[in-house]
Amino acid sequence: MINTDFFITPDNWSFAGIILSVLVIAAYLLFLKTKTSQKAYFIVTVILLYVSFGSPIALLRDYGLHSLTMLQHIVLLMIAPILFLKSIPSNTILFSEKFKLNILQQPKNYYLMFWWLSAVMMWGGHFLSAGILSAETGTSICGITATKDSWITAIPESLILSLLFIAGILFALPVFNPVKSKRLAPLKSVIYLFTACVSCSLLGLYVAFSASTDTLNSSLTAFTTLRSPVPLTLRADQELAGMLMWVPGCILYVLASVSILLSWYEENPVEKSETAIHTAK
Amino acid sequence: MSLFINIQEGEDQLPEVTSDKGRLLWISSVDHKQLGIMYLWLALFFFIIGGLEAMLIRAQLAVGDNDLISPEFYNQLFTMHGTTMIFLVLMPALIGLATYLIPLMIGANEMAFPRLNAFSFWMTCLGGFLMYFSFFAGGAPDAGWFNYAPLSESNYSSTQGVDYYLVGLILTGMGSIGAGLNFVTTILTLRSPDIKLNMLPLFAWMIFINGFLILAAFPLLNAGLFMMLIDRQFDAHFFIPSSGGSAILWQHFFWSFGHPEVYILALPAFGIISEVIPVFSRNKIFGYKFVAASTVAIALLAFGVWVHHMFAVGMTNTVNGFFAASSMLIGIPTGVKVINWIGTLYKGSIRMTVSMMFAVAFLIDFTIGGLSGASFAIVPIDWQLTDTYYVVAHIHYVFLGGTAFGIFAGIYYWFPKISGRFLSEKLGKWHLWLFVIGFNFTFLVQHVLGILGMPRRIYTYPSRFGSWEIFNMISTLGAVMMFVAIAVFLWNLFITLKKPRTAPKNPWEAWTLEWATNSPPDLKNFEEVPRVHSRRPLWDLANPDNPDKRLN
Ligand code: HEM
Ligand SMILES: [Cu+2]
Repeated sequence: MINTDFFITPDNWSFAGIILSVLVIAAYLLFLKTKTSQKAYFIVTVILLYVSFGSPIALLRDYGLHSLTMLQHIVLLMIAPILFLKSIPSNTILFSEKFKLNILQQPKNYYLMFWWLSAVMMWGGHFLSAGILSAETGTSICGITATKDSWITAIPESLILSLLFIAGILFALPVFNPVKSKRLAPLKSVIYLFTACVSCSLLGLYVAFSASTDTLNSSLTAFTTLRSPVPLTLRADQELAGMLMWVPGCILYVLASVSILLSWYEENPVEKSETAIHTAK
Repeated sequence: MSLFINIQEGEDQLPEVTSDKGRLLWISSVDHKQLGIMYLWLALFFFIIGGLEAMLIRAQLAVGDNDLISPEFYNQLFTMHGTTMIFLVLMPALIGLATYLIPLMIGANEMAFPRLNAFSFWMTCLGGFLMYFSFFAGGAPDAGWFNYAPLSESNYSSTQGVDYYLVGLILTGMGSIGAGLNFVTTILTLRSPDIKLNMLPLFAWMIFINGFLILAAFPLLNAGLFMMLIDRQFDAHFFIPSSGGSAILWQHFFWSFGHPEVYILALPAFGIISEVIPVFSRNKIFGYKFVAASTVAIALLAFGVWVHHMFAVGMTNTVNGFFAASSMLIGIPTGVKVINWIGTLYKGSIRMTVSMMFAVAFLIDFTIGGLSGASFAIVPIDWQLTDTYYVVAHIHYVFLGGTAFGIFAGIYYWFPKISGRFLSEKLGKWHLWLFVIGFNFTFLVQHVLGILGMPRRIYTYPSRFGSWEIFNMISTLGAVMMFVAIAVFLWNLFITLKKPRTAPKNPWEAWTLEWATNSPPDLKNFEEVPRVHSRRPLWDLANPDNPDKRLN
């Protein structure tokens, strides 16, 4: 039985988080001049971040739910960065010529590096989180076991999560750069996203299908997950984790690819270069 | 950065077809048109064989308690029927059409790798004949077209049949991979300089995407086939659970290939339909970009749904649930296409040629197949219906009512281009009506049989199951109609090929580049490629004052 009380107890909703979110949104609305759609993207980004960090859902992590870590990773690495970049106006100082950081100036020149960085972060972050979770709860996660005082517990979870978010933004930058002219060419973007999708799928597949079927304690709602408000067997938990990464994670990039292609089909270089000349004048 | 390097081939290295050497030179040909035609003949040859197998199956099932055929032979029949139709008929027919048409559509004179092209064809041919040789070598494969382990392992299938299946499919698989590579490279490198990638005719676009699908899917199959061959020949046990292997692993290999494969067979048919419907409706395709982009979505999603073939192997609800969801999602891009085809028909001035009628039949019957697919993407429904005749009905609606109708539409459409002669429309209509009606008779009732619980692949059933007997009889009668339809088609081919060549360059007033060449095209397709500024170059030439929107 899912314990609904857990989700409606006000104590489980971080008040500080709400204040912070409101402030951030207010600041965004006050200081940046953006289109309505961009405002919507920004608000959704903040809500997503709040839900994965300040809501009862985030607290589920303490019960050793592997799937929850995966959800956080997906939000941070894959979804939030794209929405975030879409909400940023193209004249933001970070992306303007004045800000002389080449990586942000011409991110598309670094796309291979970003791709690898985010892939390493995705796999590495995942296994580190699994290790930490295992150390904290004493269960074996995804075949990983760590003892209570293992070195892995010295790594703060928040560090991993922040790095994931940064890697996510860098990954998304070549394709979703607020400055349109600095994006990768459409077909390259599709390949870029698709290969990333393969990498997510492999991780998802691995996690889902390595769920162990043979030990008794994987098929019982054992230990920590027993007390969890969302009781899952270890096996279901792990499969859920893998499938989340695989299916919705992949579909996200498929949708992004399709929307890139839809505008590419109508693209006309003649018109494009004409408008370029106009604006140059 | 350019995606390719231009490697020049020496001018005279490739053998040329000269008329004085006659038919024999076809064997050494590397010309894409001749290879395309040979693929089509190969497909027709195996279509007849596979069709005869089907007739035997239907004869056996027409009445209950029948022992016309022995159970052992029955197993060989349905295995060879499925394998033949998928790997030796639909694949070569589609690859053949594409081999013939892609260079013509993009203003090229050859494929990128002419010798690889010939190699691909001959591998397919060799694989097919090798598989059939098994009938003379102790018995054909008999473990079903998907050859599940451990049934297919030596302790349960002790004849050489499965080995022939494995080696045969490894060879045709290599052929297909070669063809996929060739399509992708040709389209990337040999387009006329005017044609940007977003200006490709839809058929070419879909073959392009399909090339990637082939490149990604077939190696999975071949890996699995090799592993099983090692199991059988060298006593390994990849797929034998009793000694530590995993039979389920075979299913993963097979379906992670198999589901993309069903789209490999569907996409080119979608491409044909997307050429035929606009031309015979005198309308531009409605929503080019949606048809094209949904193709990419299908291709990407195709690799995330295969587990729906394995709902019954005992995975948990978590896994099943996600795959149910992704399977239903893949229906969306397909639905988008159907809507666009109907949108193209809307307010068109429709010319009901045989080709067009096959396209319309495709729309209706393929959609039914999509709906039955979506219905057993719902896990509990699948548990009930898996391995029943409902699956058989689904397969045939998508492969026969879908892909094969698409191929027929394409054959009637491009026949004048390929042979310089028109197939008789009158005989064509006989072929069409007999085939479509027979098809629906045969397979519509199989949905009911499946729901009644008739398992697929059974050799016979008790005749006291009265309703089973009635439906099976209807099914068999439908099959006889299709048999007659194919006889009419063969007769049509036969008499047409004896007529003189009369077809003009562009008999249907179509718009893509292949219709700018002679019918049939000369050995060198284009002396000069027309300028292309939109997706319908021949329309622009014919209507200089009302051209399509320029795209370059
Ligand atoms: C709306 C999209 C579709 C869905 C949701 C779908 C779903 C399914 C499912 C769940 C099965 C497994 C049935 C079972 O064995 O229990 C199946 C079988 C099959 N599907 Fe589909 N399908 C779809 C479209 C297609 C298309 C377009 C094709 C081919 C062009 C196709 C070809 C096949 C074949 C060949 C099988 C049978 C494999 C076998 O067991 O021999 N399907 N489909
Ligand atoms: Cu499938």
